[in-house]
Amino acid sequence: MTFAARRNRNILITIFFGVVLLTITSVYDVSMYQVSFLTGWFLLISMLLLAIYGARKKLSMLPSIGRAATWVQFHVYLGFLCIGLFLIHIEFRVPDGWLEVLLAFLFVLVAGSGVFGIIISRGLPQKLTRKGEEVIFERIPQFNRELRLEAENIIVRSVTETNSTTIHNFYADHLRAFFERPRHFLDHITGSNHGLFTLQTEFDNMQRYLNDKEKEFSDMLLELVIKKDELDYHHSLQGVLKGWLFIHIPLIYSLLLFAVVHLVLVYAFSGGL
Amino acid sequence: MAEATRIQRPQRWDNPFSTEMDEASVERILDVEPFSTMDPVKFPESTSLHDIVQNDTCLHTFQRGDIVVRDGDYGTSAFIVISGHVRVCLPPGLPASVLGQEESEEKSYWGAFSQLWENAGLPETRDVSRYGKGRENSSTKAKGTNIFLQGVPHVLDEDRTVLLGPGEMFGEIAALARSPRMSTIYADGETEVLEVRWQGIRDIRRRVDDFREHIDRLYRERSLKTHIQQTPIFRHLSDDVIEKIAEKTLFETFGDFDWHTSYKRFVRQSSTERLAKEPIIAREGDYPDGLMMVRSGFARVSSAVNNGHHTMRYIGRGAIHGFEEIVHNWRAGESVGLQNTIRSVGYTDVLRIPTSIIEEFVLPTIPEDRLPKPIGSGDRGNPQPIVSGVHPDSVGAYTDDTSINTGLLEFLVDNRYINGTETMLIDLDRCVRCDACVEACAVGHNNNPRFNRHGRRLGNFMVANACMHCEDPVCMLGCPTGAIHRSAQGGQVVINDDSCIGCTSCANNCPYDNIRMVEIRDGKGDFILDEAAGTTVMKATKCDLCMEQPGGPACQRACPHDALVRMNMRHRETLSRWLNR
Repeated sequence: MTFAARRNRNILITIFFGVVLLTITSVYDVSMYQVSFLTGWFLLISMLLLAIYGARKKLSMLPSIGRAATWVQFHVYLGFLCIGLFLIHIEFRVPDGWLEVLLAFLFVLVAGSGVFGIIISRGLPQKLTRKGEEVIFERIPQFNRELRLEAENIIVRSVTETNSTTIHNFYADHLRAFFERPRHFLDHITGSNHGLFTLQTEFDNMQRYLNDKEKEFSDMLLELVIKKDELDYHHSLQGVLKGWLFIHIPLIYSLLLFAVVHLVLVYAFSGGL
Repeated sequence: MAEATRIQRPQRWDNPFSTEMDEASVERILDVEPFSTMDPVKFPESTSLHDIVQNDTCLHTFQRGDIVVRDGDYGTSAFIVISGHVRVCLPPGLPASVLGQEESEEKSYWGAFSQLWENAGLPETRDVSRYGKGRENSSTKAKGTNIFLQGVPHVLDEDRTVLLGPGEMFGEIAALARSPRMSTIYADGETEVLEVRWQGIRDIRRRVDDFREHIDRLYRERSLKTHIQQTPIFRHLSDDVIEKIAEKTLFETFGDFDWHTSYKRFVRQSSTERLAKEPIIAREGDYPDGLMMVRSGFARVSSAVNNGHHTMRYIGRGAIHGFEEIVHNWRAGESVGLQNTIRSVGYTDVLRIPTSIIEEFVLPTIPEDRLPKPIGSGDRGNPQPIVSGVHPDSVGAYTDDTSINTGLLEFLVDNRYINGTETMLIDLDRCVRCDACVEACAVGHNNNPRFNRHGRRLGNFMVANACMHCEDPVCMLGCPTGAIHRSAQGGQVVINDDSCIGCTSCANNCPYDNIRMVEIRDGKGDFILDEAAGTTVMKATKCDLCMEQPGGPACQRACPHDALVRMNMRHRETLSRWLNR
């Protein structure tokens, strides 16, 4: 099955269940029951189902629980269904009461971070693929260190072989901080080339003060700058791909916690409804 | 500082094939053919004939009906009948239902689950008490537990079997070609059989000319007829006709059997240089003087485009080439030449059946509507009924890989990734670099991932550094102990950690850098040292396709974005579907 066919199928299934839910809530409403009790329970159960995907990720050694990819599909489309369910539950208005506001706020953050996760999971891998070599995230600091040592070696050689400190001074002013740690995070995330472009311009400006031998060292240094920029690119994008979960997952647990408190309070003060 | 654990560096024969080969048994074996005719002087002191028999062989006694080898199983040993007789079942062989199954050594669900907390906290820890115990490694079961064929006379038509007696050898094809057993062989009465693991066969072949010639002759004779019988266009023919075809068939070998030794140099060359180094089996435009059948290895089918060659497809064991042209010429009375060039990729064993034989014995027996359409009729790319059911392992013969991007096809062939039966492919456009695959792998292997999410790539596809469980596993070639072997259950290439002596032969032989040597530690985290040299003890490690885990490779199941797949490169349709999702 192609991805497009799978997407179409899953959208249709989600719409179908959405319509079923709407029908059930309408019938419930007509029957003079409080719809928010029903949608609340649906919502809580759905959120629990969404949350156990986290546990599934740790259990890949067990075959009968299904492929992680199937779970992700379920997670994504049930997540969208939950957004609809949430809107029905809060009756399309901003809730009152601080707990309800907090709960709604957490839900929006969880749903928003989830949608953000889907978008970056589809977009960023393609950008990473098209930028330089494939790099494993955990090895980036090591590669950075190697590049920095290589750059410093070039500087030492340039000073000893040309008796000039121009490149050394340039390195100290413009590149030391660049080589020390990952840079230009926002540029890379937003697809801007501003950081590298600025450095390249500084290199161009320096060229007029260099003789041929110094230009050779300058070119070697520029090559390392470009490599470092590619590493930074991978660091930034892979960092976002890994990092968003550090927001999404704690929010889920907070949301579940407050949802349970909300449930207890609702039943405690329901007055026999 | 705590004292480091020291052990004796593992040696080739620390784990003999059998612990029951005592001096009396060895002397008895050396007195019977073919060993009695071998000159012990031809063997070096370090690998004497006596030591080979003692350490690389195992004596088994079978009763009537006991299965010695089973069709389809993988094994890396050959057998010599010492006394009694065995029967070889000719194709189609016995139904699977009567052959029984070996028990799986898979972990239970609880065993798999408990890995979450039972795995070691340190990398590559080993229980050294397991080593050097001299455990048996022979492939047949312990005495008294042989697999038995119920009611032999009822399940077997004895006309469809061949009797082998004392001194005769069998199982050598699978042992030497690293391929599945081709027949079921069972004992016909009380029979004593000597099992020789392939390391022993290899050493004897190297020293004794007669033995080498004898094995080579058996290899050619026995594999040929079976191969012809298994090829769909011959399947309907009688034994007499198959016999006649076999008589006229020519054996041809192209390329280098040890292709892996020059692989790394080869892949660094330009595509033109690489292509020039691939021996041509048949050239585009040449008269099709015979039907070519790939017996083993791989071949590239290409056609000339300007000054280069465009790869149309790759073919492997069971595929045929030149059939369309032969049919066209026979039908139209023309002399159309071959439409493509076929080249050996690595090495290729080819059977060439003369065109006259095909015209006389085969074409008249195939209904017209099942023959390929004439060349130039516009739809010859469509598979014809006669070839739609090619050899079960075949990669097919006629369809062009139009659905696989040409660049990718060239990449797969040039790098010989077509050798893989479980190649790890990663679609980098979908991979979010979460390493869930690596984590899942680690959980199944005592917290040690057995692959590297890195490798050569073309466009958005990467072939990761994970064992591909090759069709032609050249890693097995130099292993002195048989530690690296094909699993009898699924044919996976696996390493027996107990008998691995860390010689690095497999890691050096693997052309794809998919085997890693690791320094092992004891439970405290200290490196285990060789008693004599004081150096660390190494072991070879690689992907075992999660053999011990219920449900197979965890990496594929763990991938949340359908980015990773384990792919048999022979299944081009599946590959094409996956690439074009």
